[in-house]
Amino acid sequence: MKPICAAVSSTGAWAVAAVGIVFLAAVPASRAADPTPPAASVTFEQDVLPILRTHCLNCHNGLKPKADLDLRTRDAILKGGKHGPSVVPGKPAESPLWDEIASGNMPRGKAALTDPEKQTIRAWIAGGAAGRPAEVVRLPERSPGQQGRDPVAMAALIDREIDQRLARAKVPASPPADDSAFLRRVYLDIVGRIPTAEQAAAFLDDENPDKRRKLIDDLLASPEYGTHFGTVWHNLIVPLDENKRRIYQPPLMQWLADDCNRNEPWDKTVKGLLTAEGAIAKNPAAVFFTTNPEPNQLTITASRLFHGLKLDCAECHDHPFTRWKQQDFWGMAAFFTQVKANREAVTEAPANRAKELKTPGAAIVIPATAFTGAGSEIRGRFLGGAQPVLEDKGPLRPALAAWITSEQNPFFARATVNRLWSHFFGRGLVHPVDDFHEDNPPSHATLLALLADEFASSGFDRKHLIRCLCLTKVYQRSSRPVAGNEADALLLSRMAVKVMSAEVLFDSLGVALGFENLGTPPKALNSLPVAFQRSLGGNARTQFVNFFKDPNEQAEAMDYGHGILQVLRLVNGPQFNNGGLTVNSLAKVENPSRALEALFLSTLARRPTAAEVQRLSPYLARQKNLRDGYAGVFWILINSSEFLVNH
Amino acid sequence: MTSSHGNSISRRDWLRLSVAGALGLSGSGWFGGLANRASGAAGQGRKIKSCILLWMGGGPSQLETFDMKPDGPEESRGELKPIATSVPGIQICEHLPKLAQQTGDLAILRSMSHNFPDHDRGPILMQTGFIRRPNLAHPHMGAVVSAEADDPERGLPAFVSVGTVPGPGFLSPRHGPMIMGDPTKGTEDFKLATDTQKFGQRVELLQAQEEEFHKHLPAQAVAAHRSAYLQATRLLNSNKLKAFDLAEEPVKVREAYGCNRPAPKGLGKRGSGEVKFGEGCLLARRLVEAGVPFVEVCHNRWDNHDYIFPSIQYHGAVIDDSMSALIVDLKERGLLDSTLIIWMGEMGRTPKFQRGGTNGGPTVGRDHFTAAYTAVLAGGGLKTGQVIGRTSKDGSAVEDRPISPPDFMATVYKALGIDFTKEYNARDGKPIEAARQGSQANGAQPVRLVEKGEKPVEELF
Repeated sequence: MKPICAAVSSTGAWAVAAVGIVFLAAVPASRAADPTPPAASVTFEQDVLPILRTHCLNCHNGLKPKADLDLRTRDAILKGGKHGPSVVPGKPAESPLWDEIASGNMPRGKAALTDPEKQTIRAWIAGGAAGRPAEVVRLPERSPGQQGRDPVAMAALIDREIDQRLARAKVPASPPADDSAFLRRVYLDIVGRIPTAEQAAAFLDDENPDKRRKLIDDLLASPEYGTHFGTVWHNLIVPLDENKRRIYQPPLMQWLADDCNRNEPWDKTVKGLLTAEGAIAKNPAAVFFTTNPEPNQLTITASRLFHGLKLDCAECHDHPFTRWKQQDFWGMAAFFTQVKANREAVTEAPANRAKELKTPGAAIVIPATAFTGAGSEIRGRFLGGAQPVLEDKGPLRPALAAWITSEQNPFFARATVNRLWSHFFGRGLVHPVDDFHEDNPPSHATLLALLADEFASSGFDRKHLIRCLCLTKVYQRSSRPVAGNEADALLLSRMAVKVMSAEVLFDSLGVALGFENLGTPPKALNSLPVAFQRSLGGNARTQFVNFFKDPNEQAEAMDYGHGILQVLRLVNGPQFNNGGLTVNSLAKVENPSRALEALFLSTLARRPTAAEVQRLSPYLARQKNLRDGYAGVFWILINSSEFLVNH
Repeated sequence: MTSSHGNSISRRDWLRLSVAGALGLSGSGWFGGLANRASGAAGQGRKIKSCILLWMGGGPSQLETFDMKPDGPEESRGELKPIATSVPGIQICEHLPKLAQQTGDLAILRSMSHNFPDHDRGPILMQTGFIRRPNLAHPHMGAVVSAEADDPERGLPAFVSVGTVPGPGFLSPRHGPMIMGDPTKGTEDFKLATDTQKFGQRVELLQAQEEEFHKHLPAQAVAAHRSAYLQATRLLNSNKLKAFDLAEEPVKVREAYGCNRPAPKGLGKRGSGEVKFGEGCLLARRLVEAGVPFVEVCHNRWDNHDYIFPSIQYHGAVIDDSMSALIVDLKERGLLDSTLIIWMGEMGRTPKFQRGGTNGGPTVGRDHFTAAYTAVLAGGGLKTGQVIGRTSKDGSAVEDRPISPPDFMATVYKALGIDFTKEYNARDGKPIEAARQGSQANGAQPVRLVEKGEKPVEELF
C-alpha cells in the first residue's frame, strides 16, 4: 500500500482529484494526511454547513454575497468579508459570526437558529473551527504495466472498502441474497428484464457452486446487455421534449447497443459521440448533436454525462454554491461553436463565426440572455484546466474530446464509475450522480478512487467494471434489513430496493406474459419487447414508457413513481387480466401446485412458498375453470410490489 | 423506542398501521371494508375549504396581465393596453375582458417577491413555501391539504393534479398527487376488467401477498406501492369516478370553459403547443364538487423570453375564458365561498425587454423576475375586489406591502382553514400535538407548515 496525497500519486494527477473535498488540490497537501479526529468532534462539513445552508446561504453565497461574506466553505469564512475574518478559531467571543448569531442579529428577517443549532456553531468555533479531514486514499499497488485486475480480486478489494467502513460504524451487514433474489436482480440490472420461467428454473436447480459468476458472464455476453445499456445511455443523452415526453432515437439506441455489445472502450465511444459528423443515417452518433443542438445545451449534457457536474447555473452567472464560474461554462461551450446541427445531420462550420470574434481559435460570446457577463468573449478552455492553442479554422471538437477522455481530466473516469455504481446499487458513491462538488463528497472516497483507477487502467472497459461490481459480496447481499442496519442508507450494509424503470417494466411484463415463445428475431433491438410490442401494435412501448415513467425528472432509482392512473392501467389492462401466453400454456394443467410454480417462476423468478400454495389453492379450486384461476394468480403476482421492485 | 434506529422503526410501523387502518383490515378485508364505506358522502363535516391552484408555469408577466404600467417607461409599458374593470380604480390587461368584469371576485396581490429566479427552485418554493434542501423535502401545498383534510371515506383522491411534480415530501406517500397528464383521458382504465366479486377475491389475495412481502422488506418503495394500490382500489369502488368524465358536461358548458381550443402556432417554442386548460378547469370544478379538496391545473406556456405580446394575446384569452367560467360556475353552484382559487406562477417577468432574436418585434420577450410580481386569489370567502400591495412606476420594485413566500403560504392556509403554525414531525410525517410543539423529544424533527416569520395578508380576511 502506498498513500496518495496531493503531492504523491501512483497513477498521475487525476487520481488526486478523486479525494473527496480536496479535489483539485484546493487544500494544502498536509491536510490530507491529518489523523482522523474522534467521531464526536464538530466539523464544518458535517455539522455546521447544513445549518448555514438552511439559514445563511441565501444571502451569503458566491453570487453576490452580502457584506462580501461567503459562508459556503471553511476557508471563505476564515477569510471573511467586508468586516474582516468571520471566525477566530478557538475563540467564539472574538468571532463576528458567533456574535451576530448569538445576539440574534442574524439571520435577518428569517427564522432564528434554534438553541442546539447555535450551540453547534459555538462548539465548532471553540473547538478550533475544524474542517473535515479528507479521507486518505491509499490504492493497492499494481504491477507496472498491469491493466485490469482479475475481477474476483477486484471485487474483494471493493468488499474490503465497504466492510471496513461498516465495521467502523458498527453496522452489521445483511446476509447474502438467496439464489432467486440474486438471479432476478442481475437479470434486471444487466439485461433489463426478468428471467423467463425456464431460465429461472435452470439457474435455481443448477448445483454448480460457481453458477453466479457464470450467470454474470453469460448475461454480459448476451446481446440483450447492449440493448439494455444502449437504452440507459440513450436516455441520458437525449433530453425529454418540451412536453417532457421521451422520444426515442432508434438509430442512436442501436448504435449504443452495438457499441456496448462490442464493449468498445468508453473513451473511444465518447470521442465518437463528441466528434460525430454527417447524417444520422450514416453516423447515428450525430444524434448527440441533433437532440442537443445549441452550445449551451451541449455543455450541460456533456458536463453531466462525462464529468458528473451540474454546470447549468453557470450558464447565466457564476455558480452560487460551487466553484464553477460562468467562464468555465462558456469556456467549454466555445468548443461547440462550430457545430451546425439540424434534425438530420451535423456539420462543422468554421466560416460562420470568424468575423464576430476578436480572438482566434475556439471562442464564444456570452449571449444577452445571461444575467451577467453578456457580450464578453470567452476563449475555449478545458474545465478547470488549460487553454489549448487551436487552429483558427478548427475543427474544435476533437481537441475537447481528446481532453475529456484523457488522464489530465480529473472527472471522466470518476463520473462514469459513479454512474455505473449507481445503476447497480441504486445510489451513487457521490450522490446525486451528476453533482460532484466540494460540499458533496463521496460516501467512500477510496473506493471511488479505486474504481476510477481500475476503469482507466483497464482501458475504460465497461464490461470489466460491471463484472467487478456484480461479483462483490456487497452486490450479492440481501435487501432485507437485519437488527442494527435498518436505518442505513449510505454504508451499503444491505442491497437497495430499486423500482423498475418504465422500459424495464414493459419488457418484464412481456417476459411474464410469455412473449419469448413468439420466437427471437435475431437483429431486432430486443427480441422480447419487440414481440410483445408487435402483439400490442404501433408504438406501444413508447406510449407505455411515457405513461409509466416517473414524472419527476430528478426521481431516483429507489423512488416509487407510479400514481393511481398507472396502477389502474396495471389493474384493469386487458393483457394483465388475461395472463397472455403464460396462462394459455397452463390451461390444461390440472395440478395446482405445478401451475403455481410456473406462474411464480414466470413473474417472481422463484417458486411459491408452502404458505403461498396453501393460500392460493383454495382460490383456484373455487374458480369456474382452470384458466380463470391461473389468470387471477397471474394478476395478483404482476400487481404485487415484489414484481415491481428490484430487490 | 429503545434502539438508535427507533425512528425508522416507528416510521415503518406508522405506515403499516395507517395503511392497514385505512384498509379496514379488521373488518371484512381490504375490498369489503372499503365497499361498505365508499357510499358515504364525501367531505361531510369537513372544515377545510377546497382549493384550485391554477399554476402558470414559467412565470407569467405581471406587466401584461394584472399589474400594467401605462405611465411607466416604454419597456415597462410594453405593447398591450390596460382596461377598466368592474371595480373602480383597478385596471388589468385588455386581453382579460371577462376577468375584468369579475374583478369584484378577485384579490390581486401585486407585491409578491422572492430571490430564486429559476424554474428549478422557484416552483418548489412557491408550491411548498420552502427552498428545496438536500436533507428535507417539504410537501406541496396540495399534499398538506390532503393530510389536513384526510378523510378515509372520501372514496376519491384528495390531491389531483393536471400535470405537476413536487410530491408529498416528508408526508406519507398517500398524500401525493394523482397526476392526470391529459384531463380528457385517463378514464379508459376505470372499468373493472372482471366482475366485482372476482375482483374482490383477487384484491384480498394481493393484500395478503403484499403484507407478507412488506413485513420482510419494509422499503419505502414497497410502502408507496401499497398506498397507491389502496387509493386506486378505493377509487374503483367509489361511485364518483364519473367526476372524471368531462363528456357528461353539456356542450354549452364545455364551450364556456374554452375546451377544444386549437393549439397556438408561431409563438416560439415556449409559447406554442396545445394546452388543455379549459378542460383542466372544468375537471377541477367537477372534482371539487365531488369532494376533492385540492386540484391543480397547470398551464405551462408563460416562460416568454420571446414572442411575449402575441403569446399573451393568445394565452391571456385562454385564462380569461377558463378562469372566468370557473368562477361563474362555482358561484352558481354555491361553491365559490368554500373554494379558494389561486392563480400564480413561480415568478414574474422583467420590466426591461429581452430581445431573443434578430428579427426585432415579435421576438421581444421578458426575462425571469422575482423582485415584484403578481398572484391572484379568488373565492374562498375572502374579501375580494381589491388590490393588495403596490409596485414602483416602472414595476422594478415593491413599494408597499411586500408579500414573501411564507406570507403567501400562510394566507392560503388560513383561507383554507388550516393552522399554518402547526408542526409536523418530518421523520414520520405525523402532526405534532400542540403541547409538544418545538420539542425534539423522541428524535422528532419538528417542521412548521410555513417558514417562521410569516405574516398572512390580513386585509383579505
